Amino acid sequence: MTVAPATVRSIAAVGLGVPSTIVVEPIDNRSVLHELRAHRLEGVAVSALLDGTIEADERFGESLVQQHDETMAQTLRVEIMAVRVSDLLLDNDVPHRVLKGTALAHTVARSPSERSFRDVDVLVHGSEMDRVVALLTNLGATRNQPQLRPGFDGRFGKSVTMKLDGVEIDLHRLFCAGPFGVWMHPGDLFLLRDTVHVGGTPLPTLDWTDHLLHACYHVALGSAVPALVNLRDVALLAGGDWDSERFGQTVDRWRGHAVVRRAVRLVVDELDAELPETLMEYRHVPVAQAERDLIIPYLSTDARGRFAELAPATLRALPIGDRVAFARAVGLPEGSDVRGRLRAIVDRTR
Amino acid sequence: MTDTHYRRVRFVERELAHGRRLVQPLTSVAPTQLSGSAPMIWDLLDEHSSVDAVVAMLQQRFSDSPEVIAVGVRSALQSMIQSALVVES
Repeated sequence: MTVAPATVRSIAAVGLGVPSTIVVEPIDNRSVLHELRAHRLEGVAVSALLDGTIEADERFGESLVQQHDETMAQTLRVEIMAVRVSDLLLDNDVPHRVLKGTALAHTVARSPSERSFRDVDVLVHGSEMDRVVALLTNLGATRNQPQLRPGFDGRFGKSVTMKLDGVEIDLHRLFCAGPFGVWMHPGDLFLLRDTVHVGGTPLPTLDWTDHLLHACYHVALGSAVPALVNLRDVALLAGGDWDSERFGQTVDRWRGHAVVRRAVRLVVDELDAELPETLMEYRHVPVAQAERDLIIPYLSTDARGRFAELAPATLRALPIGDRVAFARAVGLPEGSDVRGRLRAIVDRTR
Repeated sequence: MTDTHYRRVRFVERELAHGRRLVQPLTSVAPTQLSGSAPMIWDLLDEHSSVDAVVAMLQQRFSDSPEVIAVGVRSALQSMIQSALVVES
């Protein structure tokens, strides 16, 4: 399986390995532009076009530049929201970490203009989740789905999605739902901190090693067909200054071998990227069949199927003392709008 | 010349193709595109707040007279003020 045509995969790999010319045939202009948007690679493509790595006709160049202009305008809108959210949390002494796009654009990407993003992702402690939701609600943000039961989000949820001024804000407690989320120790991610300065605000973010870990989880479990920009994130992070020993210890502690193995295989297969040997070793790390099977529901394109398969696996992974509360919340959500809440459960896994 | 000083507001920005720049103040709902010499003037405003100082910096890079450069700088500043990128201080 490949996630995109060869031309687009080559563009995703620009700067990661041996440089080569990428030719976009005029007949492919429209489809390549479409794929570049879908995989959020317009910025990388513009750089490659301007430095001559991409050979294409004038029409392609003009369309690509215009498309990139539009994407950057959207990205700035989201970035301003990231600053607003982080300012709010800093003002209220809420420990947090800005994740993914906003942080990676200013650290990992060769230029912020090469890394677009569509929403704000922030990690908070589960114990702070209700307070953060309340703070954002006071600003006018609305939740996409109601909480299943009081305290569920902070105890069992992967994230809470809210919307403010048309921008989506994902408040994460974990990197992923399901058993691999249960096995995480999210407190680990608050031990170290990097900072990116955006809009006059020092945004706290993960350190490089934790960014790499997160990128691997996102690529491996986020969807069956990961966006190439996310595979590129893994490759760029892997080429930087990360602590392979601490990475390995965390993967052991979080039982994440199957996750990292899938992530590394995807990056190598799709981008043909050269990764450090310490990461390449995960391609062949032994993983029990039972744990490999746990990844299958994460890859379901059917949200209902995904939830149906993830929920029992989550239940089995939880400590015995938490199982009743989880089962009660999922099986019998609070409130009278049962249909809406069941829909919320399904949407929650998307 | 003038004693007026200018200050950039809090903003986010991205480089665009062909030397253009997209800048959006945190309090604005839409970005402004800077092109031509405007991105250079915008960058100079980070460390130099008066027209005189910006003109002096540009004089080192261009052969135009200070008067000609000042006209361009004032024009760019007016556009930036109208777009709420810059305030007089």
